[in-house]
Amino acid sequence: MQNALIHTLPSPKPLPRQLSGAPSPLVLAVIALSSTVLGVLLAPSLGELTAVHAADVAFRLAALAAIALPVALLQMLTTPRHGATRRWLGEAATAQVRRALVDSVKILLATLGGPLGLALMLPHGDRGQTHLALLVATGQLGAWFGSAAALLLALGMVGGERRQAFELLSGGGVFGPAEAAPLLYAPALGLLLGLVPAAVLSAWLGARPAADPQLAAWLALVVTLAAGAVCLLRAWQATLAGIHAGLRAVELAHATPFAQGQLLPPLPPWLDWPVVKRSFERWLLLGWSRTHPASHIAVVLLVGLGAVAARDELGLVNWLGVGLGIGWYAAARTAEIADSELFSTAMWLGAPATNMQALRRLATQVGGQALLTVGLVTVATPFWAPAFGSMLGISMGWAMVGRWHGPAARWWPRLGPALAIVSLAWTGNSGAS
Amino acid sequence: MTQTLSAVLRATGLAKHYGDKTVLSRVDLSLQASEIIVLLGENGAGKTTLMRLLAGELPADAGEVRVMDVDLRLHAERARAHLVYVAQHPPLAPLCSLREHAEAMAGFRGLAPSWPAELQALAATFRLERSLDLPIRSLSGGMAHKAALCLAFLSRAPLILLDEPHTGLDVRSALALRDLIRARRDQGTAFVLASHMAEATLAVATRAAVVAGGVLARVFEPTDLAQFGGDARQFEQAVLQAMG
Repeated sequence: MQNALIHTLPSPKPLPRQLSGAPSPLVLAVIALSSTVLGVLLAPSLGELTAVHAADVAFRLAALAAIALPVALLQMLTTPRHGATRRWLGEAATAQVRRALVDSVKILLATLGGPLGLALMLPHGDRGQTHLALLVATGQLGAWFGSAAALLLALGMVGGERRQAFELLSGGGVFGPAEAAPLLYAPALGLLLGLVPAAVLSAWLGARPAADPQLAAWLALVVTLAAGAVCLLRAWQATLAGIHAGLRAVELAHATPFAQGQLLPPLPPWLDWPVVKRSFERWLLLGWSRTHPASHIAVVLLVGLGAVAARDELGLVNWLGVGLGIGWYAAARTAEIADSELFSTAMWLGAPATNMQALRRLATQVGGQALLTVGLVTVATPFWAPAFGSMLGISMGWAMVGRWHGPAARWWPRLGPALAIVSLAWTGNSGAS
Repeated sequence: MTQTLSAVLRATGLAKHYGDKTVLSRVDLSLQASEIIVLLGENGAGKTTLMRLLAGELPADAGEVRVMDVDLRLHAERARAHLVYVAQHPPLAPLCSLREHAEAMAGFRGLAPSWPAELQALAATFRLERSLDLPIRSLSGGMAHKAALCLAFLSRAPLILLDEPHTGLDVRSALALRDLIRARRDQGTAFVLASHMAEATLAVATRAAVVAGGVLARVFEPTDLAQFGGDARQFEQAVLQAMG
């Protein structure tokens, strides 16, 4: 069905400039990410040299940016409000996706050369630096593998094979033919997997604040990382063109009345927790999951990331950061749902008018998810706990709350970062590190 | 106008102002089971405002609305459970399908387990069978309107308010809607319709009311409507006269 649909599509639009040419928001974001990695690398030594807590705070704020920037990108790529992904539509041709894959393989190989070469140059016996370089290389490999796998899977979807595995992860697709819908998730998946190197590196450094920095090696590594980030960006640019091509098919299929391929997936099973069995919450979450499809992946991957890194203990002060993050996130997301059109539709369909209890239940569920995610990540590294607790709450909320209406709602996004900064400053001054 | 405690809908002394402008004042309306009243009037006369007041979507500045003898202002939740209001642009969720809307409605209103079969039949009536699982936003305006009508009839609410229900409908669907309204009327459902179409009004109405100058300027009782004998042109003249 998908193939038939694509063959009947009109001529494609030319690719927009930001996909084919130089500086784009992605470039700027990746450069910013590289700078953040630089900060992550240099801050421990700075903190060790000066013994000033301000460095620690800066360190954590840099980490905040490291998480928030990709999540912001994720939102830009996936939420309907920004609609960037679906506005940047190219030609509907799987050949483009294949070409993007080949390009990304070349870029991967070039990118891996840096950290692997660095590892070989390091003195024998310097296991820490070697491990660091290998971690970066592994992270890059993981980022590529994630996006490539998503694309391969999408290609498989087009051929009508193996769609269930991806749907299980993504909660299905909603923006067009079921076979093509997973294309939507590829950029989000790749971006989130791209976080892995930074997160692993940060966790590793957090566990070794007294690491003896060899400045030359550090700088070389930073340069390599920056170069690698730019290369990954190029890969993404190539990849996105293919993804947008698929989305073009999706968009046109949507615009076609009576298109029978536009099957809607059910509520993802893992969102369908016991709390959400009631009609009202179920309806709100169903509509919400359709509006913010990438949020499922964000939660799954962040939980996974936290689980992988989980270790050590959690202090009282650290719980403050966790609590703030969870509270903000739960409130923001619940406010967004309550403010959405889904609520008025539910009223129209006959839902009880007094649904504050249902909203509280939703908030509980949302808070539970955030607690799971943030808690796991926070437990992972006490050194990072307050920062992770707050920034994950903020960035997840940022990613998942796409629309804000009304004077009260406007304060939530501002309150979140404010709480985070207060939390970070407090824990920095209290010498949590 | 007849007023009894067993009325499906009873509105008394309804008034609504937008700023200095009085849209409605002193409107009384009562509706029994199996009655269909059609509201007529010029654009901006206040028909939609009256419908929204009756549906509880707008608060009245004065007056009272009771649905199945439940005060709409004091017990909105209970009262609204007895009615469905299909506006000109009903608030359907664009990324959800008609079937999903129906499923949610079944949960909210506690519909009988046979609702899927009934939905299928309603969809067939409006030729929406192939669109049951498509997102609403992929439907045309007319199809989305028919989807909303399907949901309204599926609800089995004793009171259905339809604001210009024929707008955007093809001839076949308009006729199907007329037959459906009649069938449900025979089963006891009461309807309030806002319409500009004299012929359609005469086809289904048991009463008709002309909204003009913020009041019901004239109410055509069943005996009045019977006098027109289906002559739409003559009825239009009478309506125009009532509009002033």
